[in-house]
Amino acid sequence: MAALQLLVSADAGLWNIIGVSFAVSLQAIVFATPPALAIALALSYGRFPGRHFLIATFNTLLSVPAVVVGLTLYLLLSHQGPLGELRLLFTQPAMVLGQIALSLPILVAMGHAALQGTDRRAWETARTLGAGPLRTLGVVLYEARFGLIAAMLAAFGRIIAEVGASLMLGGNIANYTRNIPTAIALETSKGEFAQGIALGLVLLFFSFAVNLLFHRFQGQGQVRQQ
Amino acid sequence: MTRRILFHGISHRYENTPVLSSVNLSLEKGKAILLAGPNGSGKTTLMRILSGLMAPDKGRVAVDDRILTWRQSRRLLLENTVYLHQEPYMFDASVERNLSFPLRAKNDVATRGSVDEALHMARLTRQARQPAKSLSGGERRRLAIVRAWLTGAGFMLLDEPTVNLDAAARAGTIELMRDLHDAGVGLIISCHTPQEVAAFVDETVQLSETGDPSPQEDHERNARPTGIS
Repeated sequence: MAALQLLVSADAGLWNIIGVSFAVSLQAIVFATPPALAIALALSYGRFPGRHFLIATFNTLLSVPAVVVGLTLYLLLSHQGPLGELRLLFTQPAMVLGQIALSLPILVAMGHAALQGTDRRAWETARTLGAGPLRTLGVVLYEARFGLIAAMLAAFGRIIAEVGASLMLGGNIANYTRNIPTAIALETSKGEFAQGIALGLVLLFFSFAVNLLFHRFQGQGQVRQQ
Repeated sequence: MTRRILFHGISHRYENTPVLSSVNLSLEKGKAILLAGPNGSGKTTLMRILSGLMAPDKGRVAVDDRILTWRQSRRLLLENTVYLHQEPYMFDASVERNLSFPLRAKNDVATRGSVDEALHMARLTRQARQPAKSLSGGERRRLAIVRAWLTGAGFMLLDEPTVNLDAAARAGTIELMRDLHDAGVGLIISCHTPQEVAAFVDETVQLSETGDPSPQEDHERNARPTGIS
């Protein structure tokens, strides 16, 4: 009920929190996806030393806690850190960096699995029918699109809900770096549990909307003919 | 347009197992070669090499008495040959989108006319808007052959084009191959049932289990184990 009231009240503060959440997470996905795809392609089609080590590394990074990513970047971006001069700490770009670091391993690991599952004949058929390397790449990505979209959704789900990195790198500044998870943490620490749950439901509602949007690109969501 | 490509001493091994050893072959426009041999004799590997999809461990490719580097050969082979998998791959699109792929790949204007002609040739006009992946085995083979023909390549390499097809589908596929042969396309066909294509095959190259080529008596004209005719 509190969630509904929150939404219908059209509270400017709430909309700002929602805006920060989605702006930061969508930017992170947009920046992280191209390099992640390039790495996943190299891991799927390349033959180079250390390939298995890289695959294992990205799979391991899936289980790194968000707070550890936040702490590492905090140390790098703090005034005494090597990147302190950039003055990024407690800004939205710092939160975007943290979420890129969190989403990259998911995008690489799941993207690699999706590309690994594509039929090698797709690449060969495109090449033998006269397509250049770039168009062939487009063919392969299209053939793997369902798995790749699933990777993006999983990565988005992880970063839109994470609190550790956002709290450490953004500082939970009202109307600037406060997103839904950090707002929930704040409300809970104040003992405002209903408010916290209401914000959680708001997060779920908007995530559902984003998922529905992506679902349009996922065909019928059923097993395909081979 | 390249009329003849010579391959000399093509050898390949997977880890420590030799698959092809010193195969000599020439692709010629208008010539159909049957590649015969038991399973594991390297027919598919040889066809993938001849089409530029994979590099051999050893061997040379020559055109007009000029020996090419593998980089040059690969480019030449990708431009002039088309390899058709044993189970042809259909892109996740309609039959006509699959057919127009070679034209779009070369930024050629996919004229309605050429796609319609190709649909007619493959007897798939009625299925034009159907997803290609929903076609039967025989229809897929015909679509793959005509799609390859649309590339305009002078040479086609067909890997077991009639396997797992019923009699009617086999007949349709063989008829298409004969049409291509009559149209001057150079063909290499690997097949376990040589009698099916005997009527238009000009030469047979028999590969042994170790990948050694040996001539076949009934079509001995050009296939010799040591040289390129």
